[in-house]
Amino acid sequence: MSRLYLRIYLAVFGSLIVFALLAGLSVFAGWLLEEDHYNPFPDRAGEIAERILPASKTPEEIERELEFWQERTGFAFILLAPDGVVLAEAGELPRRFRIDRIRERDGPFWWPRGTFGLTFEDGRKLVAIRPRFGRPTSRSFGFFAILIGIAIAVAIAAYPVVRQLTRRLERLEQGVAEFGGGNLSARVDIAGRDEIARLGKTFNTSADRIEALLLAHKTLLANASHELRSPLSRLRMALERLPGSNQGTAQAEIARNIEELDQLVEEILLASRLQAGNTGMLKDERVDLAGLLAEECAAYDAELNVPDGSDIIVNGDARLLRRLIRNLLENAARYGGDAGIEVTAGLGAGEAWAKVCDRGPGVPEDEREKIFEPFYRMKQAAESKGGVGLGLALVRQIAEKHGGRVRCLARDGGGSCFEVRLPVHGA
Amino acid sequence: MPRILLVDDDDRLASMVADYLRGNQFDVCHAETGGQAKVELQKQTFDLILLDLMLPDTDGITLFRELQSQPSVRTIPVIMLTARGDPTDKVIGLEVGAEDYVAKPFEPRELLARIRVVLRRGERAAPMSDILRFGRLEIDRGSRVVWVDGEEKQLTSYQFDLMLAMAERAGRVLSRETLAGLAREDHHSYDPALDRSVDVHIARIRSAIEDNPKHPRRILTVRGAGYVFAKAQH
Repeated sequence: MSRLYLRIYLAVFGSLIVFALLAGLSVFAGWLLEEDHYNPFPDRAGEIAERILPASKTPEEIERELEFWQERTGFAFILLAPDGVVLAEAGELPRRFRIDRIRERDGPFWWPRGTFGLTFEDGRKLVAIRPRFGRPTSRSFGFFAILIGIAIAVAIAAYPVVRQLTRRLERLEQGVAEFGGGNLSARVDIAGRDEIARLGKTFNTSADRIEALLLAHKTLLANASHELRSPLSRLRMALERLPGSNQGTAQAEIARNIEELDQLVEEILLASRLQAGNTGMLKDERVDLAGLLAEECAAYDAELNVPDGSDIIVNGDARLLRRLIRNLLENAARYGGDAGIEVTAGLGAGEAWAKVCDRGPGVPEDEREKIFEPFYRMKQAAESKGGVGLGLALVRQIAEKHGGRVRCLARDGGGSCFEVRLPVHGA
Repeated sequence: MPRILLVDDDDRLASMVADYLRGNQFDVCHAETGGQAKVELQKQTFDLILLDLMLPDTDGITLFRELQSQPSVRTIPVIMLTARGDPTDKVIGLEVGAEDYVAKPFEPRELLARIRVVLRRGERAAPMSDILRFGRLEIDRGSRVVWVDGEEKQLTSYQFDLMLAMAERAGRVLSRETLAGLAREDHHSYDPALDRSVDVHIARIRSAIEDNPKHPRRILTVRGAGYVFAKAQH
């Protein structure tokens, strides 16, 4: 059962029912054990026999005697003559009492339903019949009904109380869920001083700290780009103003390093923004993947082929997808040899796919997953080729943010292919 | 000598930029804050504003909007200086109506080229909405003219329509049939003789607007699918 209030409620209700049953049973047992009702006939048989025995007693006297005992014990009595004629009677006999069966018996006997028989020396038979529980049973049934009625009344009264308790839990849960869903300013209302209130307070304190932390992180991200690039801009500007020719190799090297640092700053900031799960930055627009591929391929002189000529439309953030494609092309241009990059794209199985293939040395099988880890560098890759190993990690992050995936495959005839699969628009 | 107002709180960078621009025959005035920039704008007139997005007292976008509300200042073209990847980057810069943007760290020569293009543009008074701009390429839908680096390029009416149809759908791959259909639809006096082959016209357009028609960067071929007009151009 998933609802806590139902569980608590059923526990309360169940224990009420058990209580009612036990109470009923104990009352019933008490009634059974009560002396007035529990009069084993044989205990008194001697006394009764003594009074009835003298043959001198007139039938009236005997009848009075039996009536007296009937009143005292609640048993019904019949006195039979040896020939089976009823001499005296007291009390009401059960409706289906069969007197002829008693006539057949001799000596003391006991029937399971509470009929006791005695045969006196002179042949008379005294039969005592325990009263049926008709009346008391219906009375205890009424008692049961009252108990169950009380239980139901308590159950109905308990419902709002239990509901009230768990509603506070639910509100707490809603607050936590809202916070978890990204609304960092969400807090829960605190009422009372019980455990739930304390839990709420603890949550609010934690939320305050998380919010402060994330705010600091956000501020850092927002300013880091500007702050890190200011010195780079000054460097670039100062380099331009160095005396001497602009074609100097030293100057070109410095310019290239500034460019690389700039790329690194951008990639690190983008990676940490993506990791922060800042979904606000992720736009959801219709993007023509083939169009993006074409634009980026042009910059790398790579050939784009869309064999089936279909429209390849995906949902996502065009800037991030452009970065994904550019990183794959950059990777192929850097490590993929000089044979040229081939890019294909198409649709299949509800997915858009793009493949960036090169004729480079290829990636050994045990490294094909590792190369997507941040800052991973292949064993034989030369440091001088540049790149810091964030490019492919970003590719994977962006693909996953778009509900897609990326993998590295071996290419027939040498080299490797990077395949990206993204859900198509409307899927 | 064109007068440029440089608004940037990084005075070490600003002094180098100012020196560089002065060395290239520009008159540069430097303002470190938004407030100072407004004071300078009241004192004198400028031909162009270089506006950094991050200022100590305000941000570039807010300042830009304030300047746009003053009739005397509104006509001055603005180039935004941004840091690439900033939350407030080029997209916002161009959305609010800046003429262009340059991402830091910029190549000084690139900045110079952008300034020159924007200043050359300055004379035209076409409403912004009628001009499609892709980096250094501009298409004026009203007067049906295309410029690259502020220089007018010659296209036939049909070719202009074909290019415009593509540019209006920049970033989308369009098949030859779609393109032929679109250009015909937009073309008021359709002449079947002109509709020989989309490829021929594309080649003509490329030779007019591409920096290097052998390595096109504006109209790109997607083998098997058609052509796409690049959204991000330089």
